[in-house]
Amino acid sequence: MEKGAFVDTTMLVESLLKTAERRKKAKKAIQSYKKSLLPHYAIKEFKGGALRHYIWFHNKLSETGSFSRTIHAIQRNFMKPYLMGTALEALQAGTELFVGAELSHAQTKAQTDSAMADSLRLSTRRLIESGWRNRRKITTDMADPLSCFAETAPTYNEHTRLLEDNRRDCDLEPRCCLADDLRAVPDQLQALISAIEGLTSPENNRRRAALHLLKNTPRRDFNNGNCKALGDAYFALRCPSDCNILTINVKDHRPLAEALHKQVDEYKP
Amino acid sequence: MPGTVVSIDTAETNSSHITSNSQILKEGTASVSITSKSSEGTQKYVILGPSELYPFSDVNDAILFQALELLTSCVSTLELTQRIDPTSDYIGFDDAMTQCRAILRDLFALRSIGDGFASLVNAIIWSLKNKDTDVLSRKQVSVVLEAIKELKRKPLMHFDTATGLIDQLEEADLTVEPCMLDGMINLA
Repeated sequence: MEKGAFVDTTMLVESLLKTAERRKKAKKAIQSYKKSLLPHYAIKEFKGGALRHYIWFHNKLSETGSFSRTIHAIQRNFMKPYLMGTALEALQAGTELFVGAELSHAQTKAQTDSAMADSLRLSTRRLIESGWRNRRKITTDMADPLSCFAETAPTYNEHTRLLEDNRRDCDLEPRCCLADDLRAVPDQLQALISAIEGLTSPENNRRRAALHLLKNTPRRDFNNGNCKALGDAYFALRCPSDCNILTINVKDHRPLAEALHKQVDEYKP
Repeated sequence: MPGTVVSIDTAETNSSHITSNSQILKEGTASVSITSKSSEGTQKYVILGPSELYPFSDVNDAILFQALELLTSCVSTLELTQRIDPTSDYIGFDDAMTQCRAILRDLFALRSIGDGFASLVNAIIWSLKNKDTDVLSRKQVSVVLEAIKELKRKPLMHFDTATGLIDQLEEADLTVEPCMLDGMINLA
């Protein structure tokens, strides 16, 4: 029987927030499966991860009104030295596209900087709003609803000209709606703990702690932070037997999925 | 109004005659009433200014009129482009597109009109840029023309309305955003 796709967050980001060609290609890859499932958890990760970065970028452009100051903020805070090449490329395009030859050099520089900031801000806002609107349309079905997650949309504040999206955590119920189900499969939890044994990245350390919490302390609260820390382990645990996990990030997913005798399909952007 | 005598109520307009929309604005008025006398009798018309058409807008009337004039030019240019077959007259086609790009650049300078207006102009600018040296197909010219016409009808369109029109540009295989955007927001 042909397996369906259990779409992970990297695929969701690729299908919704990337530029046109990449979005189209990713959607086509998902549509090549007769059945495709998007777990609600992927939307939660999407909202707390990539979408948050896009909103930050939009708001930084809006706040500074300057492309170069936004780039400096990224370089300084996210350690992206390679970005200068991309930034220069963008500025060159901006000079050509947005500024008339009649302007003096000093004005041209300022005008280009401001025009590029606005251009990127508008493109980013459109990606964010379209992406959010289409989030549930990329697969044939949704899966594994999270009753504690509100899934509120980002909103644009006309006065501040900023996008607002502060409600990212699960806050609809006092307890994690997944925890009981996950605690019911201690063997699988143990298999995942074993699969990441010896891996000491911060992400794996947090994941290990969350898995231990589920397996060893059934009465302790499993909070939003713990839920987030599960990350790729969630997809291994919840992928149905008639589906493979469809992801860009095979390296992290594979050991977890294989520990539970599940398979991962790689998508290359 | 051919065959009619038109007089303008100057008490309301402070303007002795109307030659263009911008002249009305220069006189600092928003509306003009016109009395038309013909064989069918006397009729009174009122020309509304942008501030009456869009009473809740913060946009300066002069900017809006400038945009409407530029959009009119853009429509004419694109209609001209539509009539040219680039395989037989590449220079004519490309010349018209160059004019169109220049108008769009001027339109983007008026982006304070609103995010709906600005995002649609921005998307068209990048669509043309991303075609690089390729010629727009007939369908693509047509979609861009329809978008500009819609913008002329609704310059204060909401962002969501603009997004719908941008989706149509994408459906015509136009790339509406800068390709370097992916690299910039890859923050994680």
